[in-house]
Amino acid sequence: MSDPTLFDALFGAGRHEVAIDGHFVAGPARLGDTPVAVIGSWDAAAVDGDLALAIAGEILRVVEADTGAAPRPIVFIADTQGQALSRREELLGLNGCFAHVARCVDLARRSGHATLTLIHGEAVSGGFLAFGMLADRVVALPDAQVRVMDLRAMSRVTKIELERLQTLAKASPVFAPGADNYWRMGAVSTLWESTGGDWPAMLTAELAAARQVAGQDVRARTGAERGGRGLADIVAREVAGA
Amino acid sequence: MSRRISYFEASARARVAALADAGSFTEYCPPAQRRTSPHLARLDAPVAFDDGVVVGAATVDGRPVLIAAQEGKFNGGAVGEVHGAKIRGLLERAVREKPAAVLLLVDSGGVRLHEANAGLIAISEIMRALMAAQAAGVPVFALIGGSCGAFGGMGIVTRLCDEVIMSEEGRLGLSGPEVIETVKGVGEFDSRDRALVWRVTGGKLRRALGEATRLVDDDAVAFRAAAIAALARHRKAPADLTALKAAQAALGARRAAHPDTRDGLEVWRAMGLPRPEAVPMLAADTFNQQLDQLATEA
Amino acid sequence: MTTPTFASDDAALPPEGPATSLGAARRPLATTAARQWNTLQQGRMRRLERAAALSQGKRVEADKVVALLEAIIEPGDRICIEGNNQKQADFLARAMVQTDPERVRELHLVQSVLSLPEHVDIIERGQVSRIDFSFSGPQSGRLARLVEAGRITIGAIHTYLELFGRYFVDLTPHVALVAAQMADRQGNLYTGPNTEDTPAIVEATAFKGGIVIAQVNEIVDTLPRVDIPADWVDFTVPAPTPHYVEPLFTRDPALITETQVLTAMIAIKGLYAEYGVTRLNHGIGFDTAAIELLLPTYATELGLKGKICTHWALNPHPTLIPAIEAGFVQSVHSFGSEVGMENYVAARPDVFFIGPDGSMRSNRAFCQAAGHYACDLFIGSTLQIDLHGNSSTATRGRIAGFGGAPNMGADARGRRHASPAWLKAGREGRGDIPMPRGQKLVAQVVETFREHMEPAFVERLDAWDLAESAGMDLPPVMIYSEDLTHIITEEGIAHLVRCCSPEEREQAIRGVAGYTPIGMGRDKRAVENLRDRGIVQRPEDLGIDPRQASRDLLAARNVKDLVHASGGLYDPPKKFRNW
Repeated sequence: MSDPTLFDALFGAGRHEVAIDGHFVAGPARLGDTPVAVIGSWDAAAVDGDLALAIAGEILRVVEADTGAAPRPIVFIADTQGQALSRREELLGLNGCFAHVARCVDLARRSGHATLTLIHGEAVSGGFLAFGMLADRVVALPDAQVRVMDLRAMSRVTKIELERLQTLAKASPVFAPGADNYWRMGAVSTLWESTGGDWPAMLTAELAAARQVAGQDVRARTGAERGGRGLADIVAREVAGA
Repeated sequence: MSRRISYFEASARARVAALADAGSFTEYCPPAQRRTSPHLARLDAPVAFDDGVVVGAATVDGRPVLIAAQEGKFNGGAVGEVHGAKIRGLLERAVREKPAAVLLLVDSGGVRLHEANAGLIAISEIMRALMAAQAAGVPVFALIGGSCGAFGGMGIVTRLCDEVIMSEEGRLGLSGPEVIETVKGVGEFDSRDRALVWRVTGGKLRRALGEATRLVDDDAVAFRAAAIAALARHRKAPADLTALKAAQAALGARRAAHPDTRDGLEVWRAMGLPRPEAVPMLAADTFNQQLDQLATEA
Repeated sequence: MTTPTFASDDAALPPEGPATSLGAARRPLATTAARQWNTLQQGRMRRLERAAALSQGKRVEADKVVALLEAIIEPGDRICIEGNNQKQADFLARAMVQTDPERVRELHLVQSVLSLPEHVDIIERGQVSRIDFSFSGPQSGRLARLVEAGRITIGAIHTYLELFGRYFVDLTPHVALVAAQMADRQGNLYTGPNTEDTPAIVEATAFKGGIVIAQVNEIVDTLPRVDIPADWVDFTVPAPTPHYVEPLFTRDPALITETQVLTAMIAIKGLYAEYGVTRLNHGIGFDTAAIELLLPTYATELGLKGKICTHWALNPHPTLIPAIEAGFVQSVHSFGSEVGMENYVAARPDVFFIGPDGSMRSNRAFCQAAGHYACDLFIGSTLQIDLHGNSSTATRGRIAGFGGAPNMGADARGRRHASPAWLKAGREGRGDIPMPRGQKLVAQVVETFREHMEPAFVERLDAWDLAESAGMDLPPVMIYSEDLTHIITEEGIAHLVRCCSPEEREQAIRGVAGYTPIGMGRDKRAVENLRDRGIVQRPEDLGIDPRQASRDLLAARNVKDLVHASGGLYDPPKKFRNW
């Protein structure tokens, strides 16, 4: 069970009306004088089409409400064990629902909303791709886990011995689970390592940083600077010809 | 009997050759540059000089396009750091060069597990770059007809595209049937029931649901013709608030209309196709005509 | 006259010997005790009486079938559980495993294949003392272990025709358990397209005092036609599930490699066209499927339509559909049927053997005889070929057996009718002998390296090791050197039939063995000399450019193409679909 006091820690008690509805969270909050919108998944959600559409719908409502006014920052909560696995979801095109969420995040960005993701609990594979990873800035909360697949399953699929993967995982961040690995590769902007800090102030600073990079994807460059991803930036620039 | 070039069987390079105007293709970051995956090498897995994707510029029917083609025979077309960076770089080039379109020849099971984190991030970067190209006015078309289909993150990327051209051999989804069977059991999805797999993920279902905009036979010439038609007729639909609200309503309506559907047959039956059980055997043209007729009647 | 050893352990058949010499039989001595001449019929009546309470007429319900078997079978009986590489009397096989080993024991299995797990389970349960069979495919490993452990004695591993022959000589079943599609209330059987071995088994059993039990998918009022008459059948059992049929002859064209396209081109131009082969049998590999799929394209372009491949002894291979539709094929007789081909076959009665009811009838015995005597060519694949040209599919630790290939892949020395292909091969193979005589064309098509880079050409066949470890009299050779006329690999074709000496033959084999150790050991000058004389031909010697060997030449490139070619009549099994 995910911890609902999270929002008190982030915004201060009584300064938010974030509602938890099963695996869906949403609601308004304030950081100082700034109103923000909170939208996301909750309690290790297996993201299915209904949850994806709930998130997308909420983004669209925020964008519409702020049309002609100052666009509120959007704080996404990513708390997901991955995509839902079911034949019906595949048949109805769960990938299409995720693409729709991504478009909505992009619309929010283009409409001037700062976007920031907080990884709470775990962020896995497709469930993370859909919206969490698309924000301008991503923060991993303490004990947050990020992964595609655990090493045991990876060993089964790739037929590489587990011990070997475990050894290599110590030297390379490219395949092993871990928020720190994603930080080294540039996909997590900041790791919040303790629960003791002034989270409202830290969140305010992160949102300011998100505004700074809005519209640019700086992850590959950051990953290169942090030594976690050496080639992505170089190769992309070679092909882009810029 | 006429000889056609099977798109399903063709290599990524053969697909590019069949799609582009003769002699018009220029490759970026070609194999001679040997941009191989250091991560595969570290695991003693085979590497490819193009890391499993061919990217470059060409003309199609005289129009300038950028093309990326994934090689399904190399690691199932899976996306790693270099592979993903090449596609992303191509989309960034499109923002500057403004070609008539970017063609993504998708043939991929998703993220390359040997470098899973790099692959996942790369797909996210591709998604952002793709939407940036669209925002710059460049349409992106996906073409799907290879043995790996378009799954995982590449299934999401595909659904961001302005047009999706598929053969019925092509498959489009998020989680592969084998994954679902492994986690949820054979009762949820029997991956060995090949006919069922195609009725749930294949081109004819995707076309019926409107996710594939054009369905063609497994013929590289037909894919080229569909790409030319898409280039000629495509009008950029803006991803504005109105459009996304409409899309939201449509996706919701589809889920409401198919509360228990678990087989493409039920979709075809619900649509009122004359003989749903015969759909898998219909030629692409016949199937398209039936759908067009239903659309006219509606 | 010698007494065959098999008769000594046979209580049911009257032993032959001096007492039954011709003179004695004609005029029995008055002092001899009156000889019983109907012990077999008495035995049969005895068995039927024991089973009387279990049946209603001939019908036995599924839940009584174990009791039926226990009532009918006596220790030491010869039992045939029908099953070939296609249809299986699987329900009756499962019932056999449930019988009481104290009652049903010391059996002698005499049957075409041991391919179901139950066939070997009966042996493991100690109910079987001896087996005579043809093929064990999927159970070959288990069987080998049982033989090595001394748990079972193998009489012999036969070809199908040999075993059928012995049903009528010294291995007649006491009890035959067969499979049919339908029975009527009188006990007539409809075996339909998958008639296969049933007539041979039932005829031998029913006419020599044996008992015939048939599992049927359903019992109906009126059969489409009668394949086996009711008075040859003692019991019919409606099985809870339809009998199993393996789609063994379906080859997905999508899996045909360009190397196989190349060897198919070599076969068509260097062998079929060279000899004008019209009557033939194909193995079931992808190599031969490639040949079938090149007939409407490559062979047609060479102007060979009507000149080659018109008459076949062959199962209804789905890959033959395009050639049939292109008008290449005039006639096909089949050993069995193939899953999903029923409607297509029924709609092409000029080509296949179709009854007045409109469905095909196969017959393995007749088709094997046709393949042996009436065909000019057999082409198949193998795992190993030695320097003499002996070939084998045997590997250590597996007793797989033969099936039918040796009947097809052997010169028919009893053949007395001529054909141009047969005469040409005979002239080449027998040289200048005063008596004109033909020879069958027997070809093996292999890639120089098979899976896991195992060379197809070897100094010594694994068959020798297997024979040693299993205590067999003969190494299990599929096709003997003296019968093999051609080897085709991606390196070219070796016309072994044209060789004048064993030394030449060895160099011809090495000449197409590529980069295998055997191939590397060739005498280059000798091989070049063979090339000059047209004994070894490279693709370029035949005017074939290997770069043209593309899958684009295949008339169908996947199973869906085959369905389309059949006009929607072919209904492939699910596992072969990707749409």
